[in-house]
Amino acid sequence: MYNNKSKSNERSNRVILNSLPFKKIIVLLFFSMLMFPFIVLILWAFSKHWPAGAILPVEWGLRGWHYMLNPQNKMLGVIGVSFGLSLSVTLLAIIISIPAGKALGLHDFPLKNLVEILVLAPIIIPPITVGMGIHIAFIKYGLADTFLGVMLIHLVVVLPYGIRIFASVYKAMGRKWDEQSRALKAKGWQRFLYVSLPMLRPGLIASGILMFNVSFSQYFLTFLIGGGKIVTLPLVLFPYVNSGDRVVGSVISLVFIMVALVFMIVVEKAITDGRQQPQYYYL
Amino acid sequence: MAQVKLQNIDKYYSGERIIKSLSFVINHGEFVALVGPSGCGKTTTLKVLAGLIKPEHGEILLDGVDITSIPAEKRDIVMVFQDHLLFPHLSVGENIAFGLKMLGIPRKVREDKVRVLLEMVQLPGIEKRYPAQLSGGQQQRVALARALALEPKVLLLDEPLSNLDPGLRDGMRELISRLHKELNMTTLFVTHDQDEAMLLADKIAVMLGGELVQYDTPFNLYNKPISREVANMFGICNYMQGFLYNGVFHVQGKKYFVPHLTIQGNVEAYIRAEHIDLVSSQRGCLLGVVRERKFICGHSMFKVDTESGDVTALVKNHLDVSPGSRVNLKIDWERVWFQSRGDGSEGLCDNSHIERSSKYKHHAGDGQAACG
Repeated sequence: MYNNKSKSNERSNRVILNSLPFKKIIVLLFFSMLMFPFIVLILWAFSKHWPAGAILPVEWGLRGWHYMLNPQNKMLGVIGVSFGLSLSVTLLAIIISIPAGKALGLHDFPLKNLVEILVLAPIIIPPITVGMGIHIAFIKYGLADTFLGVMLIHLVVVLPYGIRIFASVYKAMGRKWDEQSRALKAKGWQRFLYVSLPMLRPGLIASGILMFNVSFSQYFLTFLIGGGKIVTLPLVLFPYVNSGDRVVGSVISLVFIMVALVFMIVVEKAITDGRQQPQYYYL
Repeated sequence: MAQVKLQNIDKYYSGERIIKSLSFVINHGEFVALVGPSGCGKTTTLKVLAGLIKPEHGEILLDGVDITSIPAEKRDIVMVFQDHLLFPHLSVGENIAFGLKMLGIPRKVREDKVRVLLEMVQLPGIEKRYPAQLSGGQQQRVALARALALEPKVLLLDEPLSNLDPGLRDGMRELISRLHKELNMTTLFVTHDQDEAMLLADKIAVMLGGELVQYDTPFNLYNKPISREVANMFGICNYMQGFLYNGVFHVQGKKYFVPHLTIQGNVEAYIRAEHIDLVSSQRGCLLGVVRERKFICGHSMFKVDTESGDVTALVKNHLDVSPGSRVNLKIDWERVWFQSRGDGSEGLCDNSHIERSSKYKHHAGDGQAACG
């Protein structure tokens, strides 16, 4: 009797868990938890006066946006530098990590494990230690305080993600496609262009978006190597959040999110082939 | 003309010898099956031929020209892989035309060829579809069409039927067989299914542990297997060790008359299960008790305990004998193959009734003489 009852209880529990309204509630809950800070950010960005204790801003205004668009503040230039830096870092990192990922994913060579650990090292070791050491070398070679220097240091941080992703994509792909296209008389570059590259698509999307965002939100290393000469969005954002000008801080944060979001959507739309069902996901 | 010749091919994988001095010849237009258990080096052999793997030793000759060091993309040999490997990002038409595009053949010519090939593999008008929209059988056909598009001198097929359902398998087998007859292309195909090899091939190469054990026609592989392993591969076989003297086969105190044989010495008899019958008279028969009975497509397989050990017999289905009954087994000695034992240098023993292929003519002569 007891057993029967517990079984039916279990079943009814499962029914509740699987029921559509319950699922909807859970989804909504998570969605609102994610969106709540975002809504606060939007409110701050359009407020003029928001005294403590008030649920909503008392007065609305566009001061932050005026600040953003005012040529004197050179904010558009900063966005340009930020975007250009992260885009070039991402492209360079992809060019490097495709062959590196292929080597790690498909080939066996002596000390492969050591190389794998070294590749991951910039993620494991705190960037401050990496940055400090490299800073000294960069000063020596005149790379400190330059765009190129900042780009190189971003590459160090970003590359592990790219190499990891492409290594796993190549591992999943195996050698069979390469062998098949060789058997169908494709030369080296044809094999890469017509077979490997289309198959790397999911990896391109994942690594592109990830590496762009890691580079785009980099604060410390840009500050250290750029020495304040290379000004990116996080560098501008930090003082405002710190000094308590929440209106301008919120506007910059929103712009920051927008740029990253637009990049993500564009990349996804540009690379995804609508005709083809994705075979596997990475990450 | 396309004749393929492998000479003393050796291939090592991490110190282990996977292929051991493999040599054989495939003549123009021949359809050869490479048969063996998994891991015996069949697929490796195919990849060596295709140029995807470089052998450590040996030579591959295509029409007498050494192609061992020519890379895969420049060889006039195309391989179809086991899991068809259609490019998922290309349509069926683009897949079939892939090889032609790589060679720089103009679009118009490619499109015409795709249409002809799709008709050839009985899938007209599906150029625009994508591989994911096709069934397994269709995918395999498209993969075949893609290989044929290049009109290679030699076609290599790696287990073309193993991923298909039994029903589709028959259709695909017929298609491959028909295409081979139409195009007369030198073809080597790998399979672990002996029946498939028997059904399709002109000649079968049996590989075991990286070595070529026997390379012969299906007829000879069945009737004159070189070893127990080969005999077991192509059908059910019983073995009896005994002594041949003056046309009498002595085995464990029993005598069987085999007047058609002139050879003497220690031999092993390879007795096919289907050459044993259940009879009522006891004369010259083997007595035993039925242990097990199973049905195999139109036949019954009896496992019988006899005074000469376990014997498996394959008889017509209408015999209703239940396990436990005593039976008399009559062996058709005329059709038994004898293999000499001992040093083994003697090679094959002879039996006269089997028609010889030209290769064994001189043996046949001996046999007939003995009979007469």
